[in-house]
Amino acid sequence: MSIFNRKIWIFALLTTIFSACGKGDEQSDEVELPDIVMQVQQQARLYSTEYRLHKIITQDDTRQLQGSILNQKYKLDLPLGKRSIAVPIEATVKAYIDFADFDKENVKRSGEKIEIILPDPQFEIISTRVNHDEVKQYIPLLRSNFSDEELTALAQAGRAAVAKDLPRLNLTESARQNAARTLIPLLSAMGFDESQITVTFRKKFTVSEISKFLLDS
Amino acid sequence: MKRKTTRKSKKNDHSFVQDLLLQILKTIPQSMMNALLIGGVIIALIVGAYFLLRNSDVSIGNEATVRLSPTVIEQMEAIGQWEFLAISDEEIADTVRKGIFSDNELVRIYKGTLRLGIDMADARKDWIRQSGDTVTVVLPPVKLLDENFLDEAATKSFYETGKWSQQARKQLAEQARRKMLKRCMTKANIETARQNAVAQFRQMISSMGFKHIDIKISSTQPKTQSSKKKSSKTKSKSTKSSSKSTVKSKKNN
Repeated sequence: MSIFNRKIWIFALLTTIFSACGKGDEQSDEVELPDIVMQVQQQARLYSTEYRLHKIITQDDTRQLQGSILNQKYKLDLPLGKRSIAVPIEATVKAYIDFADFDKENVKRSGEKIEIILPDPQFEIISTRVNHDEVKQYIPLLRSNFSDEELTALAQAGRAAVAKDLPRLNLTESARQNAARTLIPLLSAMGFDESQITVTFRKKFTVSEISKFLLDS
Repeated sequence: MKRKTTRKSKKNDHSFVQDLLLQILKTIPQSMMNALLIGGVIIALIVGAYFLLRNSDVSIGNEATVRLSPTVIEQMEAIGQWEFLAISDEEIADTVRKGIFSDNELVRIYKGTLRLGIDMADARKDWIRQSGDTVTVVLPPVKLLDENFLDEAATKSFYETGKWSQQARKQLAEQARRKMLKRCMTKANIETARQNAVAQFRQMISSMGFKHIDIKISSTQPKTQSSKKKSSKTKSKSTKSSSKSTVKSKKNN
């Protein structure tokens, strides 16, 4: 093989190696974006009360040397391994009465008197906001920052906790009263005397609750 | 006699082997002997350590403790808003920071629900009137009920390279909010909400026994009292932004 031929072979080999490396980098940079979801739904809801809620989620994260020796487990906190974060979130919750199934069955009229029977108020998280200006974090020298995945997981945990706490906050009575305050002027404008108007709420029972009542009786 | 001779021969064999070993050992130099001894000790230690540690493991891990403060009600406000259309949307928002060697990127998926309806705070004094068996209703204009519709705490992280500040995340949320407004506040959606508003009010009033119902939706915001000026300022801002997004969507179409 002549020196010229050898040079050509080396050049071809190097070109192949570099081009292969380049393709690998391109593939790792590609990000496949997920589909966007949009859902449009017709509603008939009367929002009667708005609540602004506040919650702080904190996380302590310690780096540990852990394992087992002679079947004995051990954990040792590494020095400069503890990082902490506090994420405040604000949530807007609204109480609403669902009028989607409102019909003649919900209205009782006898002479001048009118009674409106409505389902119990329900609650929905309208919006949530992470208070970015007030996020506090402590990161020691040997630790990396909290990743975006960790931050979103913390916010999600806070949102789930707000949703879980809603029944315990006893918001139903205020929601009922405010719904009645919106409906009574509407009915009086339609010609009914305020003293003759009654707004009654009833709980919308689930199938399992109804079957439980039947079994108990 | 025979037994004695065999014992003697065995003794002779033993002494012969011992002599041979001693002679071999004497031929090995002292330095090599020391090296052999040290080598033997090291091998014994390795074998001992292997049997001692074969069922043990070591790793570096994280132990995270999440604590949640009690949920506090900061504010409670009586409202009267009718929602007639809810548009749930997801938007991808991303930001890129150019670097010398490589670019840093942050991509997040935001969720939000835009609620279209009417706010009774915008209604005229005589928005509902009754004469005989006829009810006349003039509803306030359909608008976006909540300017803050982003469910930021439900955000999913999608892609991250490099370090990003909280300020960058705040800007990303605003970007997602603008995208949602542009996508959802279309003329078609506002019209659907208006039609549903008329249908729902008609259904509700007819359920109360009225036969003749006349429903209109006003297209302009009513003049509010001086006490309401501050709140109306924010509301008018919201309508401005919604109308802007409608124009944008028109352009897109």
